[in-house]
Amino acid sequence: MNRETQSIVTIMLGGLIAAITASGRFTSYVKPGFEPILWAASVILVLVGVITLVMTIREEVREAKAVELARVAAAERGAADHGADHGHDVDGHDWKAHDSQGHDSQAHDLHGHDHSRSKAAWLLMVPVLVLLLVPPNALGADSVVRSATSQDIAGEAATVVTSGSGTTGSGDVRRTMPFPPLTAGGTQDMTMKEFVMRTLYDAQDSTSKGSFVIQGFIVPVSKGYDSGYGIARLVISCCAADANPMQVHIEGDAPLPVNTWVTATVTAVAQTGNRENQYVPTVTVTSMDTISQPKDPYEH
Amino acid sequence: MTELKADPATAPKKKYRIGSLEIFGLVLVAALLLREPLAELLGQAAMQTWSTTFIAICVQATPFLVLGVLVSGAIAAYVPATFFTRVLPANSTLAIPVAGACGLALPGCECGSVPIADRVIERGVKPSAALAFMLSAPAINPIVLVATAVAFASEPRMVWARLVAGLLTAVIVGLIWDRIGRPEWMKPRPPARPEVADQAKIKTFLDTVRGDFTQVAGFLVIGAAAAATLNVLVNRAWMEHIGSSIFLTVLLMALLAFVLALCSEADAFVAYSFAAIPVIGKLVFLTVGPAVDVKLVALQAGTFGRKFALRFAPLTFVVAIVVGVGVGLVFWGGWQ
Repeated sequence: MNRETQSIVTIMLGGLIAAITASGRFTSYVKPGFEPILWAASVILVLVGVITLVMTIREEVREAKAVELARVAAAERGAADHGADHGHDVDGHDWKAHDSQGHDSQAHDLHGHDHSRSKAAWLLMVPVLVLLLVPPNALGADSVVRSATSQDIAGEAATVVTSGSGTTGSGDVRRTMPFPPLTAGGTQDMTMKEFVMRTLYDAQDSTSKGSFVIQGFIVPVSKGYDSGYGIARLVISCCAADANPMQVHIEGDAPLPVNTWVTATVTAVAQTGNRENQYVPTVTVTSMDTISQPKDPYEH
Repeated sequence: MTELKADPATAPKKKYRIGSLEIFGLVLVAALLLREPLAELLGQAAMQTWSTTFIAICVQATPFLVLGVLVSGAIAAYVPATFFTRVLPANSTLAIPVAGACGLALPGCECGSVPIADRVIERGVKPSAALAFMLSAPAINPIVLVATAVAFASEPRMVWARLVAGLLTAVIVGLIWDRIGRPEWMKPRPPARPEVADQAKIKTFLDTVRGDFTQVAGFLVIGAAAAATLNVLVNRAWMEHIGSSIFLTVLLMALLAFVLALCSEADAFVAYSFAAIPVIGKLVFLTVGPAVDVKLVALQAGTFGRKFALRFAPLTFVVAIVVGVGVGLVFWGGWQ
């Protein structure tokens, strides 16, 4: 890929990153905290691309002029006295013209050799074209089904699992963690992550004593349950590549197709998450409405 | 004769112009025309997950890559060629730990440190020292350590264990490479750039940034595609059935770190979420991940050459596992 095209691809990538950052689509790929550094990176890429493009074009115009001048000079001399010796002279002159051009831009010359031969830069067109033509949506049910693992949390439960090879889930000791008390009464908004954690580990079973509003999307029934469906949310810590699903189970037929975003008022059924169902607790739903995908489709 | 000689003078110019831009335009037009089938292909559930993961890795890595190539460009343009040879001890047994400790100063993740290492090698730094820096920077920089402290709030020793294991891995790999590494394994590089005049410095800077970015980002794309593919295909559930064998656990965590290719600023959160894995397994995951993974092998093969990557990656992988286990045993005094 030559240097002009490198500049253009750099500008396009910078521009596209600016576009997804401005439109908010970037939250489908990375956590919202990335916003400032995405802006910085896209501005730098566009600036570097534009300036190097202008520089390269101007350089080439100058080079072309120098070559033209040398050719004219050679032609004039050739017209004055034509001979084989002077043919070599022309050649020498040309090289000198080229060389003096290269001198104030030595780096470019070496650099041209360094990278213009590289075909790797072409690969940059893949993310550019994907973002330009078919920008992917946030991860959904497919990812939940694929990456669902046991929802019990690290370390705390590890000893139970490793020592309990002979016993089944029901024989495990229930682990609990301290949670701040909930403000009593009424329905309460809660993130999926907090809801699942409280349901599994709150000794007071606070989530089974009240109504909670959670947001998520419909997923197929999870491993360990024979029927029903689930509401899930993906939790990311940096980008979508590290997404981890959090889900709850609901008995009955799914009222809406998979991947539909809903807000649901639910109450947990206490202590329904166990090893057999990968610690996916069951909830009862009192109301469910479809919503559009939240601005940040992930939790953190 | 004269005419024959005059022609080649203009010929290189013409040859230079044909190609890239036209091909670029063609690819663009073709992609626009094929938009419908393309959208259909990427519309399938598995492909959706793949393309989201792929783009997520690219988007997430870009700011860190930009930081890396800015530093690399600044070194190329503004740091005198003699600087590094003056600052670093001439004795490589000393230079390697010093270079490794310098990794503390570069906030970023692993993709950014590859072009910087390449640039300082060009500037006369011994490859073994530059590689030690390349391995340590993503593992032990302040952002990564803070992220680890946040993720492992209930196990604060992990931060120190990670720092020690990351630095040790970098230094040991550097020392081994100093003994066995051969220059011909690395891609031949153009002669070091001479000092440039003041007015040309900004130009060198910008040229280097553009060249390095498109080059390294190109290889990042291969790495991101590989990582996204494995991310979709590898079923994370299988690791829950392994907890019984320590040997398998360690190997599994190392392999998982290799195939998942997580950013070193995020891997602590993922490691923490692995239930059923003893803490040493998690440390191995955090030691192997920043040092070697599919994405990094692609980057290193592109930057330093395939012969290099074929030897360097397995070496790093083995050393990181051994160091991870050793440091873990020292810190926790046992497997749990």
